[in-house]
Order: sequence, then structure tokens, then C-alpha cells
Amino acid sequence: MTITSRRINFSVPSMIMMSNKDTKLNAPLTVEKITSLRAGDMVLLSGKIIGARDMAHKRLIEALEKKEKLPVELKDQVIFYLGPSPIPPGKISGSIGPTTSARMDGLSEPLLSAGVKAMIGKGRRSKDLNNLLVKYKAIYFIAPGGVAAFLSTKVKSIKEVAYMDLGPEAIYMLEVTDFPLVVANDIYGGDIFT
Amino acid sequence: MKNIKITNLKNQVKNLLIEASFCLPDDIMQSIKAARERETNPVALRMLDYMLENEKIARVQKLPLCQDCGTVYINLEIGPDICLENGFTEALNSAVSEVYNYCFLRKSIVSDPLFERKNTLSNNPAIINVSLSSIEGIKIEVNLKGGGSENCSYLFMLNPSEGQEQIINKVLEVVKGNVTKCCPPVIIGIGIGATASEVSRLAIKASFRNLNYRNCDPRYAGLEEKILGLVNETGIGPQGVGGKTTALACNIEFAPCHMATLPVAVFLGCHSTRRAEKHLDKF
Repeated sequence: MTITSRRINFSVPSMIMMSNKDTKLNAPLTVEKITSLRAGDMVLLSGKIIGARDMAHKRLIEALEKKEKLPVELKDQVIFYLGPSPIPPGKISGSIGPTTSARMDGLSEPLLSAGVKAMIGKGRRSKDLNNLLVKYKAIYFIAPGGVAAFLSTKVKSIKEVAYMDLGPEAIYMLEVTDFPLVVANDIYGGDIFT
Repeated sequence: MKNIKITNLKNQVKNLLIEASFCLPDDIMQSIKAARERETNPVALRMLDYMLENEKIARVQKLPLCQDCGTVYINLEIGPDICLENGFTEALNSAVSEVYNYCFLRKSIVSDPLFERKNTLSNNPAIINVSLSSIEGIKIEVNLKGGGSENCSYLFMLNPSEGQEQIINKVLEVVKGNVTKCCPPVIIGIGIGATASEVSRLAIKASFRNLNYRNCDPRYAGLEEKILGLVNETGIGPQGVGGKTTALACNIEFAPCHMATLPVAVFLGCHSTRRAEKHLDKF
């Protein structure tokens, strides 16, 4: 099958200049690493992060309630709300991007109390969730949505590690380099959306 | 009468699905570039740059524009001179299944909405809409809509006496409450009139309309412009980080309605609104 494009000569110069204002961070994160961050800051994140969304949250919470052993360590971890597209042969990752975070607002406290330090998604969150971020000294980043082919170039590895029966909703372990994020809610109650 | 072979229709739809999944339409690219020219917030500028860079990578590396490869909407407008072979629904669904499997697109459709929610592993069924038209030949439209943008769809049955001010209020309410969840700058699609069921169809048609077209009735074109201005004055900006462009366009489609009703549907389409179309009039 061939790709039919109407714009063969179309090209965009690579205009994305990383500025010295970008904060480089390495996951996993401790409180010390995020105390200087404020809502609106641009961050480039490297290191290992966990991919989990709706159904994976429900299962993690059930396991926490039953005091079962979790399939992944949560302390100091970064949770990315994602559901990637399949990996084509010869590529490291399929297209990858954030899903709407608001759906996880009511599911986040058990994970924060288990030590999760940061969440990555898209869109505004509830007032309650923002209060929880202050309480647990955790941070909420937004990743640019709808630019998933571009974000895939920042992924060094991705693999399903648990709840594989959930398909795109399984738990993933990712290693990323300079993954572009914006601080939406900091540990002091700062909010980019207000 | 011209007979359209099912295999021909299926191949056309496969090509359109591929074009939509990997190439952003020209009018949307131009609109994002124009938003970039206007923008002064450095974070918003970065977000717009990512969108332009994304289109290039998607097309060259054959990676889908968005990881959410969407629900597939297929619209067929059939002219009076056309005869379709039997079995086109099955053919269109198998076109979707084949493209989503061969092109490594994410399959997001679950079998039933409430109980099993089991992935159909084919991205079937597509939402197929067939209408009779006075155009010659057949027009095929393929639109892909992600779940995040689908979730920002609202229907209001307004009081007819409330008029356009109330419509403007409702649109602003929908935008302020939801827009950051569906990847702004968005394309606002508004349906006005008809019935509760039909107005949703008008809104989706509006949200997938080419950005270079305005409503041909100047009163509705004026309302489109007014709403776009007010939405962009909110300063919510690309991806919600603050900035000058919260919406790329506001498109309205309208139809006559019952004297006791004023149905209004407001849909938000993301900046990565994927669509492709082809008009077959020579055989």
C-alpha cells in the first residue's frame, strides 16, 4: 500500500529551538527535583516513566486496596496517560501522545499516596486534584496533544509490562530522551489554566 | 446509469483513509502557520511548532498524525446518475479493517458501550452516512475523529426567543469548560436548527468543513466570525498554555426547524482534524 500525498514538495524547516529556559529533568523524580518548577515552565524529561490510563488505574487501585504486590514500583515515578499506536516493523515506537487527564482525576489519589511524583497528560484537571498535588508535593505536566508522530522521536524504548489483556490500555514502561513537557500545576498550587 | 463497482469504492476509501491518517489537510496547515505568525507567547509558539513538525514526521516516516486514530466517519453523496452495487457497507468496513491493520493504526472501537467494552480489533464499525444528491457522480468523504474531541460534543434545545446571544453563551461555556481536553487550537463546528438528531449531523459536518469556506448566508458567516473572535479573546491558547489562537475556525451549518424549537449542537474538533475526500465523476 502506498501513501498518497497531495503535497510532495511541502517542507517545514525545523524551527524548534530548545532554549536555555528549558529545565532538564531525569525520572524517577524526587521532591527536591521539582521544588523549583512553576506552572508555565518548559521541561525536557529523560529517563524511565510508566504509561497507564483508565483501566490500568482501576486495576492498580484494586491491587493497592487488597494490599497485593504491584506489577510496577510507584514510589517517585512519573505516570504518563497514554495509549500508543502499534509499532511498525523497524521502528522503536508507534505514534505516542497524551490522553485527556480529567478522566483520571478521581483515580489519582491512591497512586499519589503510594508515592507517584508526577503525571503527564493533556488538559485541565479538577480543583480537588490540584489540591492533592499540593498535599502530596507532586506535579502535573502537559505534553503537547495531537503531535504523536513527533513525540515518538523522543522515545528510546517502550514495552508492555503488565495487564497486557487491556491492549492499548495496558501498563507500559518507556524510556524517553528530552521529552517536551509544560508544567501545568506545580507543588505550590500554581495553575497554567487559570 | 453508471454502475460503481464495490472494489473500486473500497480502493478509493482505502486511499482516503491513508491520506487522512498521515497527511494533515492543506487548509489546516495554512491556518496553523497563520496562527504561528500572530503568536507572541513563547510556550504557545513552541506548541504550534510541534504541530508543524509533527505533520512532516507523520508524512515522511509514515507514523499516524495522532496516536488516537479515531472513529471513522464515511459519507457518500450519491448523484442521480449512480447505481451502487449491493454490499457496500461490508466493503467499506473491510476497507477500514485492512487499512488499520496494514498501516499500524490504533484500533480504538469497543464492541459494546457498557458491559464488555471489548476491542473489535478492526476499528469497525465505521459510521457510514449515505445521502442522495443532485451532483453528478459520487462524492466520498472520510473523516477521523478522536475520542478526546468526541467527548467535547454538546446538544442544547434552546428557547427560540433566546436567539443568537444565548447560542454565543453556550458556545463560550462549552469552550471554556472543555477546550483544553481536545487539543486546541480547535475547529468549532456548530449545527443550528433541524431536529435534535439532525442538528448533531450538521455540527459534525461543520467541524469537518474546509477552513477556507464561510457560510454562504452572510448573517451566519457574521456569527461565525463573531464567535471565533470571542473564543480567541479568552486567551486559552494552543494546548491551553495561553496565547492568541484558541480556535482556528468557527463553522456553522443550519437548517429549518419546528416553530417551537431552536436545536443547537456544539462540537469541538482538534487541531489534528483528519479528513480526505474525492469526487468521482468520470468512469
